[in-house]
Amino acid sequence: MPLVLFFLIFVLLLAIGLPIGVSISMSSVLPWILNSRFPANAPLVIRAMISGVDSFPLLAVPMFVISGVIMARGKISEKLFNMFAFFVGKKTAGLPVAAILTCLFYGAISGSGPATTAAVGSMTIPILVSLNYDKTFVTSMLAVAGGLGVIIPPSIPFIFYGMASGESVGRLFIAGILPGILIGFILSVYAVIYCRNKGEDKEKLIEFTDNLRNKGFFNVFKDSFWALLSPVIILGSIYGGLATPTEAAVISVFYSLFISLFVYKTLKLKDLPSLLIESINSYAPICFILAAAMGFSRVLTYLNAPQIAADIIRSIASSKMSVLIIINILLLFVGMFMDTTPAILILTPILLPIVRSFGVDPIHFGIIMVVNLAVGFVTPPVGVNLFVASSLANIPVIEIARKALPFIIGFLLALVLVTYIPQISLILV
Amino acid sequence: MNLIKWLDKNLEKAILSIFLLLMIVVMGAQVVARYVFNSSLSWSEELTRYLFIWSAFLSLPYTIRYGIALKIDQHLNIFSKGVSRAINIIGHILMLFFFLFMFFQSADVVGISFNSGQKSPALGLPMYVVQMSSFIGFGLAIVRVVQSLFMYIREINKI
Amino acid sequence: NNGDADNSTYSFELAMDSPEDTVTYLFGKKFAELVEEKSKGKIKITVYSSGQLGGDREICESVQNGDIAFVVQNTAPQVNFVPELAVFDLPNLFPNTEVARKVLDGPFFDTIAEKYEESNIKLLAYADQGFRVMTTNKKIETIEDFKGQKIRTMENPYHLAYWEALGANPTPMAFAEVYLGLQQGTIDAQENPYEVIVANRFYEQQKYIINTNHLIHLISLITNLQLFNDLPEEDQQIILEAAEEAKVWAREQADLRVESRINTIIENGAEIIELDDKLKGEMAVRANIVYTKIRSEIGDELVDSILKAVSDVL
Ligand code: NA
Ligand code: NA
Repeated sequence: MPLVLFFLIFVLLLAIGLPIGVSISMSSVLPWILNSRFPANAPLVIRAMISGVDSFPLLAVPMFVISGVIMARGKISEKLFNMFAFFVGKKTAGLPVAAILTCLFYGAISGSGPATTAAVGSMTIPILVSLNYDKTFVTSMLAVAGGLGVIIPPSIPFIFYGMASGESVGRLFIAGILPGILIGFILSVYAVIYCRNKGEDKEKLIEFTDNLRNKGFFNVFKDSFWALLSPVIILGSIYGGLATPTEAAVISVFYSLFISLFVYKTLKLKDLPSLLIESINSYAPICFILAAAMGFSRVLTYLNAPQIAADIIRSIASSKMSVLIIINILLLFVGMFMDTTPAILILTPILLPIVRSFGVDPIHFGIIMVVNLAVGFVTPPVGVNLFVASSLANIPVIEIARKALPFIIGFLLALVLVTYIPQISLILV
Repeated sequence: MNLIKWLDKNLEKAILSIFLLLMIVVMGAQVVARYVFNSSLSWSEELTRYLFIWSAFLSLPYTIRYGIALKIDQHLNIFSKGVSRAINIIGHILMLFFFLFMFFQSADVVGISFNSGQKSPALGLPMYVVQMSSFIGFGLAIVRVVQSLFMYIREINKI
Repeated sequence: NNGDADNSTYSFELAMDSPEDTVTYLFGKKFAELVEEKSKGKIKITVYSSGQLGGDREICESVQNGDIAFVVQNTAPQVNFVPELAVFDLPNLFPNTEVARKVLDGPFFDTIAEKYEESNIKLLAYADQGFRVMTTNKKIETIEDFKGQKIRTMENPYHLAYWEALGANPTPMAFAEVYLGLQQGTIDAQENPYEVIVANRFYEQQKYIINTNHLIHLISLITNLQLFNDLPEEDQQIILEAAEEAKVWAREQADLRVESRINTIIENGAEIIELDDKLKGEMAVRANIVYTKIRSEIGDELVDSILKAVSDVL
C-alpha cells in the first residue's frame, strides 16, 4: 500500500469525525485487510497496541492528572497563585505574568501540558476575569503557557523521547529547565506589551492586591506554605533518591491529597470518588490513543515510512542548519494534526539518526522536538490545550486559537533560539 | 433492569476507578517498601503496568459511552444537517465493523497466547490475562457503539 | 513469511530491541549479509533495530507466531516462552566465556534447541556479550558488603532470588529510569554486561565495577520452526551456515569490544574489582538456594546435564 494512500485514508477517517484513537488503529490494520501479504497483520497490530501501553514511565500520565485534579479542587494551586499576586499584583500585567509564572511553577510539578492548562486555568481564569481582564486573552494565554508543563521537568514527553531514543531521561529533564524559563520570559513580555496597549482596570487590581497585603506577607506565606512546598517535595523525592520520576508522580498524589485533607481541609474523604472520576475523564481519552499510536508506528515501519522520510529530508538538507529548519517545519506541521506522545514515539526513531549524522546532540534534539510539539498543543485542528481551555472557559476553539497567535509567535521565537543556540539546552547537562 | 441501568452508566467507570486507585496504592507501596523498609516489591511494577493496559482498552468503550473521545469535528458544522447526520451514521457503522473485526482478531491473540502458556516474569500471571484486555475492550466497544448509534437515531427522530 | 514461491526468492525481516552500536546488531546484520551472499541474492533479510518491530517480549511472541521471521535477542526475555532457559540463570555456572562457548557449541546446544522447538521456535545460534557484572558505589570485598545494596535487576524471579541470597535488596525498575535512579540514589547498584554499562554511561554514576560474572549474557538468533521446516533443504543449509559463521564473528566482536569498554570505564575513573577466591566461594554457597529453586522448577535432568557439560569441557 503506498504511503500517500495510507495517510489519505487516515486523514479521511479523522475528517469524518471518528475518534482519533479509532482513526489511528483503523488505518493501521487497513494495509493488511487490503493485501493479505502485508506483514503487519491485525494480531501483530493488536500486540503492538498492548506493548504501546505496557510501559512503566507511561503511568506518570494518570498520576499527574489525578494530582492536578486534587491540587485544583483542593485549592492548592490557588494558594500558589496568591503568593505571586502578593508581590506583582500592582505592576503592569503583574497578574497575567503571575499566571504564566504559576504555569512555570506548576510545570515543575506536572509532566503534562493539558494538565497544566487545566490546573492553572481553572484557578486563575476566574480571578483574572473578575479583575476585568479580557477572558479570551487570558484563556488563550493559559492555553499556550500550559505547554511549559512539558518543557520544565518533570515531563512526560521527555520520558517518551528518552524511551524512543535511549537517551537519559534525567539529562533531558535538566536540559529542559532553561528553555522553559526562556519561553516563560518571552510569553510574559508579550503579556506586558498587550496590557500596556489595552490598559488594565487598575482600581480593581489595587483592591485585590491590597486585600492580600492587608493580610500581611507572613499570613499569606503561612497560608501558601504547604502549597509552595509541593514542588519542593516532588522534586526532592526525585533528586533525594526517594523515587523515580514516575514514582514522583504518585508522591505528588499522596502529598496533595494529604494537605488538602488534613492541613487545608479543602477536601473531604467523601470527595475521593468524584476526584477519581474527574481524573478518569481527563486521561481516558488519551489512553487508547497511546495504545493505537504504537500499532500505527509499527505499520509505518513496515510501510518503509522512516526510510522515505529520511531520504526526503537528506535530499534537501545539506547542513546542520538546513536539516534543523526542515525538521522544525515538519514537526510544526505534524504538531497541527497529532498529539505530542504518538508524534514522539513515531518520529524519534526516524529523525534522530538523520540529525545525528549532521552532528546534532541527541539531548538538544529532544528539547527541539518537545518545544515544537508543545506549540502543537495550541495549533488547530488537533490541539489538546485548546480543547481543555475551550471547555474551561466556554469559548470556541477557533477564537482561542486566534487570540493565541501572538503568544504562539513568541513560542516560535523561543524555538528558533533553542534550535540555533544549543547551549541554552546543554549548558546545565 | 436496575442492574442493567447501573452497568450501562458505571461498568467501565467503576473498573477504571478501581484500577486507578490500585495503581496509586501499589506504586506508593513500592516507594515505601524500598525506601522505608529497604525491601523492594518484585511484582509492583508489573502489576501497575498490567492495570494500565487494561485501563487503556477499557477507555475505548468508556469514551464512546460518554462521548468524550478526542476527535476533530468542528469543521463538520459547515455541512447541512442532513449531510452531517449521514456522516455521523456512516462513522458509527464503520466503527461497528472495525470493532467486530478487532474483537475476533484479538480473540486470536488471546487464543494463541493461551496455547503457548506464556507467563509474566514477575507475577507468573498467564499473559493471556493481560491480552484479554483487548478482547474485552473491543467487545464492550461494539456494545457502546451500537448503543450510541441507537441513541443518535432516536435523537434525530425526536426532532 | 512473505516468501514468493513463484520465482522462489524470499524476503524476511529480522528484528531486535537493541540499537545499532551493539553486538546484538552486528550479529544480526552479519547473519543477514551472509544469507544474502550465500543464497546469491535469493534470500533477502531486512534488519530492524532499536525495537522498531517491538520490544523483546513482543518480538519473541511474533517469532513464535511466525509474524516475524528472525529475531536476535538476549535469552532472559525468552524464559517466559521457554521455561527451561532458566538453566542459564544458574549463578556462576561458567568460569569463563571460553568454557561457556565450548558448552554451547557441544551436545548441550541440541538439548536446549529441542526445548525451543516445543515452543515452535528454532534456535539457530548463541553468541554472547560476555558476563553480566555488578556496578556500585560501594567497594565489595566481603560477603557482608552486599548487605542492603539496592540493586536494580531484571524482572526475573531467579535473579531476584540470587541477589536476595547475597543479602542485597534487589529492585526491578524500568530500564529507562536506571541512570537517574543511580544518579539520585534511588538505587545503589545495577548489573549488566560491560557493553550495556558503557552504552548507557552507568559508569558515570558508579565508582566500582565488580566482576561478579554471575551470568553469561547470551544472544540468541532464533526463527519460527514452521517457517524453517517449510524452506527447501538447500535454503535451510544456507541459513544454518550463515548463523554459524555470524556467531563466530559476533563472538570475536564481543571480545574486541569488551576491551575497549573496559578502557572507557577506567579512563572515566571507575575502578574494576576482581573478587578473591574466598568471596567467590561464599557467594557460591549462598547461590545454592537458586540452584535448588531452578531444579524444582525445570527438573534435575537439564540442570545435571549442563553441569556435566561444563565439567566435561573443564
Ligand atoms: Na513539567
Ligand atoms: Na495541534
